[in-house]
Amino acid sequence: MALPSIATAEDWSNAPDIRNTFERSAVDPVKSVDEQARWASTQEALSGPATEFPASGNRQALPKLTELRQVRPALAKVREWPEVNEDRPRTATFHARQEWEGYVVAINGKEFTARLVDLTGGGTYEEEEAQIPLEEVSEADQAKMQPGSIFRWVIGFKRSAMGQKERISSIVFRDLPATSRSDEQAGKAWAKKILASFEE
Amino acid sequence: MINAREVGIAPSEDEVEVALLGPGYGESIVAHFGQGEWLIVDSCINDAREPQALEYLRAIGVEPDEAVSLIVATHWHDDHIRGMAKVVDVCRKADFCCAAALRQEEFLAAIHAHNRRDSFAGSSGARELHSVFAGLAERGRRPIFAMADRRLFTNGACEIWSLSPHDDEFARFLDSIGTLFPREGETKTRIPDVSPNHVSVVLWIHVHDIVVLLGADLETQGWVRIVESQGRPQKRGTAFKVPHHGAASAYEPRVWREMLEPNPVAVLTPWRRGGHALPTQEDIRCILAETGHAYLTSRADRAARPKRRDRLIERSIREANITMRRINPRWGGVRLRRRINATMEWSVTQFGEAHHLRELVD
Repeated sequence: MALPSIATAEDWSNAPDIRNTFERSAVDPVKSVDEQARWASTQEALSGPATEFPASGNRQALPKLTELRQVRPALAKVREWPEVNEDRPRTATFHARQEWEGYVVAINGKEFTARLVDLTGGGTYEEEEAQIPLEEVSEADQAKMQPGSIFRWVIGFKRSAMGQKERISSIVFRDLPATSRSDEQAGKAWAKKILASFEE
Repeated sequence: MINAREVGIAPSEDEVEVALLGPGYGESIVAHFGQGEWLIVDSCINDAREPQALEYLRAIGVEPDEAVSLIVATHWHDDHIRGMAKVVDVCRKADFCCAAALRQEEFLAAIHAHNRRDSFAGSSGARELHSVFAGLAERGRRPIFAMADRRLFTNGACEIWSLSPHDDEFARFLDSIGTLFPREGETKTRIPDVSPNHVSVVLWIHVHDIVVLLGADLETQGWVRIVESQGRPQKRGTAFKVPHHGAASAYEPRVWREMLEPNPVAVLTPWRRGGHALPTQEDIRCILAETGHAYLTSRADRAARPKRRDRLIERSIREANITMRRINPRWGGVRLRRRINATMEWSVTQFGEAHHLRELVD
């Protein structure tokens, strides 16, 4: 059921499916998503596309995939989801230790020269220059980069969902939108204002 | 940072001073033209991100807000304009001067449009100039616009003239604006420096019997026009700020023969970006062939103490084969002082990393 942009209390009372989804997610969003995916895959293999996830009271009745495979050979193609270990953190996290913003000065063969602002140190001017191998940049970004291109460089630690810690250095080019028509109009208005103040 | 004990006290009222400050990237000139009146030409910043001209003046006991009469931005390359908005803001009594080409509506509209949603954390010449103009308009201050053969300032004892840019350079500058700023649908970049630089402001300063020529970053074509101009003051200089960090692209031998006295005192700042550094060995030899009195404010090729960082960060940088260096290696400056109407030559004082050019020949 589609809700109007401003829903009334009556609209909400007629939308039990949505309310049910919120309730499930609030209990355990990670498990809920895993279970939904598993349920959908199983339903699809057994009898076509799934339509509804069973209410929380029926979740214990969810059959194991290995058991189902014995009666339905088509289930061999269905991916088995890993069991969730309740003691481990379930999402990957990233902790930045050092962050710079930079711009490309020149591209010279297999490396590029960049000037860097130390964001971690609260910098507002470029204080360092770096020679960076192009292999540190993704191929997609390499194709786009040119003198003046702006990027972020972050060094930090990534902790995986399984708890493994890894040191990461990541350079990502910023796809900042250039001047729009409204910027140009604002620019013209500002120029006129400045010139008028210079004439007075 | 400037060592206050090293730079000493302000010059006497009948003493002309030209101090060239250059920490390795960027330059700023502070000049005293008598009677406690001062001029600041261009701006660069110190380690604390403060304009070095203001730091120098305070170090010698001069209050910039009271003593500075004129500020000139010779052009908007970021090695000449960093911190300029702060200089203009602090020196409330001073007039601000820049090239008349920068007054073009197209240029002003472009820098505002670009800055409007500019989320780049660093600096740019366009952003600094935008701040300067916005500040002046807010305070109702009208800039002085420099062009070829225009007298910018006089107080009876002193005259300051701009010898460039020539009218013809305006059109060329306007053409370049279209290529500088990304348009709708393109990705925003940092505005590149315009090269070659034809709208740089060259200054000619005359105080009683003393003439100083400040060459900004003007390149050869612009110098040919200046040398051949009939409208410029003809008196020759005894001190010269060598243009464009001594680059061959700014060397015009007729300037040395026709606009300067023989064997003048020459001062310059270094420049380095990526693998390119100025002055080169050839540039140094070329300048030394013109004068025996040539000084560089600091050495851009000398490694500065690296920034201190977490050991793990250092290891990541090393493992990625990334090399880093500081842009402003060390403080350096060269100061010239000379008494008005005296037979004495310029007295030269070197600060920090400053060197006589002869010491740098391989």
